[in-house]
Amino acid sequence: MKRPQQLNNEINTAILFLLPSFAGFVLFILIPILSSFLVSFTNYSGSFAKIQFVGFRNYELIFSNTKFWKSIYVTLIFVASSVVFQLFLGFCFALILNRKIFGKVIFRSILFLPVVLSSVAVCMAFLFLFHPTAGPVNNFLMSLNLEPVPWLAHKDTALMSIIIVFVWQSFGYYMIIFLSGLQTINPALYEVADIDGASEFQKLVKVTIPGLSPVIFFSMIIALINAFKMFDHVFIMTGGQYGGGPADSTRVLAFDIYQNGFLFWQIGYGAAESVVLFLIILAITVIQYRFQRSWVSYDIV
Amino acid sequence: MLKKNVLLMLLFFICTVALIAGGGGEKAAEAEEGPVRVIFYLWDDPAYPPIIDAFNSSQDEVFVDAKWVSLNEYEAQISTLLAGGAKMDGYMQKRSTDIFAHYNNGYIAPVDGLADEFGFDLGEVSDYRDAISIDGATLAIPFRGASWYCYYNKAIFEKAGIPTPDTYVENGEWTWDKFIEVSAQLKEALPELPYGSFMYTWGSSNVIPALQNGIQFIDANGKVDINDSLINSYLYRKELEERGLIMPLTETKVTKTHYSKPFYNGETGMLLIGSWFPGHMLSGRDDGLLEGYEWGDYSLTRLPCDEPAYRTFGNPTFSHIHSKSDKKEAMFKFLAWMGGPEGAKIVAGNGLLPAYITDEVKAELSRILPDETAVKYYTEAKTVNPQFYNKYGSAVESELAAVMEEYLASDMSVSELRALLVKRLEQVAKQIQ
Repeated sequence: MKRPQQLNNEINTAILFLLPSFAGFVLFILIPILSSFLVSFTNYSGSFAKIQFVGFRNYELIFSNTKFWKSIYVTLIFVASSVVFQLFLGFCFALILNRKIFGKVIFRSILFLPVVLSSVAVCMAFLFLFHPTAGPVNNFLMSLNLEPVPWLAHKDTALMSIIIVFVWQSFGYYMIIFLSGLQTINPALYEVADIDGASEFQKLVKVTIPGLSPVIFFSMIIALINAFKMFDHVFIMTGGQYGGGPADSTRVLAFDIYQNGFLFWQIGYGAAESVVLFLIILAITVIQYRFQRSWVSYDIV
Repeated sequence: MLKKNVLLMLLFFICTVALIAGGGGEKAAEAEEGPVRVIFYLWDDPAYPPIIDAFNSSQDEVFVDAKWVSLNEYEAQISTLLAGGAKMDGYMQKRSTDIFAHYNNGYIAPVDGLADEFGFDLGEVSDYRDAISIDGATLAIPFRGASWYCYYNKAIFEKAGIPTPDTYVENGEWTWDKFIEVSAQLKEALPELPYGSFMYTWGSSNVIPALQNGIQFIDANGKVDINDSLINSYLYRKELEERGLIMPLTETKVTKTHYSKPFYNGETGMLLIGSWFPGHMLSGRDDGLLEGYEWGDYSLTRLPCDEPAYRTFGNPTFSHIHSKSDKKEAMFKFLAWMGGPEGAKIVAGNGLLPAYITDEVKAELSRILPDETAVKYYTEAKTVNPQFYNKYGSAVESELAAVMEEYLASDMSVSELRALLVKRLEQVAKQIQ
């Protein structure tokens, strides 16, 4: 039994060690979030000298603006597509690389490499690859007598191009997470399944996926949040500060926030949009947490 | 345990002191003797370094410490720098309509008092007074004039056997229909020529007929102001793209093709761009970028125009003194030099149209422009309509560009286009108060 003095000292030490991290959280996350929320009720445009409280005016403007709804639509399409493909590809490659195959360590490294590359470098590389007339991808397609794809140069294909690049860069991260999850599944469960005559598909559905469900749940949360926040791919690949894709086809909400705030000096309006984005992400995360009880199993391994 | 806590607190204290001391280092450095150093932000146009260098070497009272920002990201970066309170004494304004937001936010110091103190005659740039004044205060000194032109490659026209655009100008035939027709003639005569003409991605580049007509898009009272000249702008662009006479707008954006590239490469017969382009041509010549033609093989003339009397458009380029600068006099000396007769000669010598035109400036322009036709049209007196010139301007330009992309990628009818333009402009007027 520790003496009260010793306990106090240990608590103080713990607080001291946690202080820098907590200070960083408060300074760089909590305060900006609260500031955004407060600024969203003002007409702040870069100078505090002229700032005025405008109530819910920014929110009224947002919800009556077609550009905002288009951004929401594009964002939802992007999120749904990219999350599904990231998790699906990550899961498939994790299953493959969990087996005893030649060179699996090398393959793991290669597939994880895009995750650690700079987004700017990746996007610039794909801009070259996806060049509508001189890009290697279209040249390859034409060599196979296929029609070249306009990629980023057409409203019907621009968002798909961004999704391809985003998924390519990110799925390796989830592959590693799923791989580590697969290691924790008790091999005895597979032996029991073999004894019971389960097929490979049945083992996948009845053992692997339930065993991985906590990891899948975690990956879904992270993938959704990252997808909602995506900005740099749109910015770099669709024209920089005047981007947003052909006919705003890749104009995600994060990009709309950036333009309104940094280009048009409507910082209060942009802050209101960011609050809306925050609430959307929060709502989806809460819904996920609520429904996880029905399919996430923490006691299977 | 107590020792550990004391050690931790000591480390924290040292870090804090180091941070504060680091911030003070800059102030210590500034206390040195010598010319007054002013921090000036501007974008990385190739014509600007010689202007800065010329000022710095022409006197020893003021040294301009130029901070270069990427041309493509300048608007957003300068917004961040200004809102974040970055240390600066002055900056160049790239998107002239931002003067309204900057003035509203208190970033800009009026120059009237300094002009009187140093005897700078603002009347010499009175042509641009409206563009640099708000509420009676003069907020900037322009150093570049405003005008757009049709630049053309004489070698291409000669090869195609087609009269150059100045011929149509002289005959009073240089309309937008004629511009499209000439673009088509070039492509027909020279199938290997990628484009008959080239227009850039900016909102202004694509609504030139409307700007020449003088509509405000959204007037100062927040009312939408459009007419057929704006609709025609969209129709002309669509025709040019559908007939393959121009690089598609989205392709230009996606491939990040700078407007100089097709002209340097001899891939277009004509280019519609502003008065700063001779500076780019000088750089292109000096860097050996001109392909298939020589320096003297390009010229310029008026824009195509459907108006009864010729008019072009443009806003002057100007610079501001930052309101929080403690070196306003030094900054003013630089801006007054750049916008005055001495600076105008250097500006002209670098292929830019100065705001301050004198006989010496014209002589300098004669030296750097390729031929007499170019000098004639570059320096002629003309009506220059301001573009998007009110607080809605920045958002209007962006909106017009977005609608253009939407229109080009769809089968929208003219009435649908008009309705969409009105709707989008009304939303801008509602959003920006």
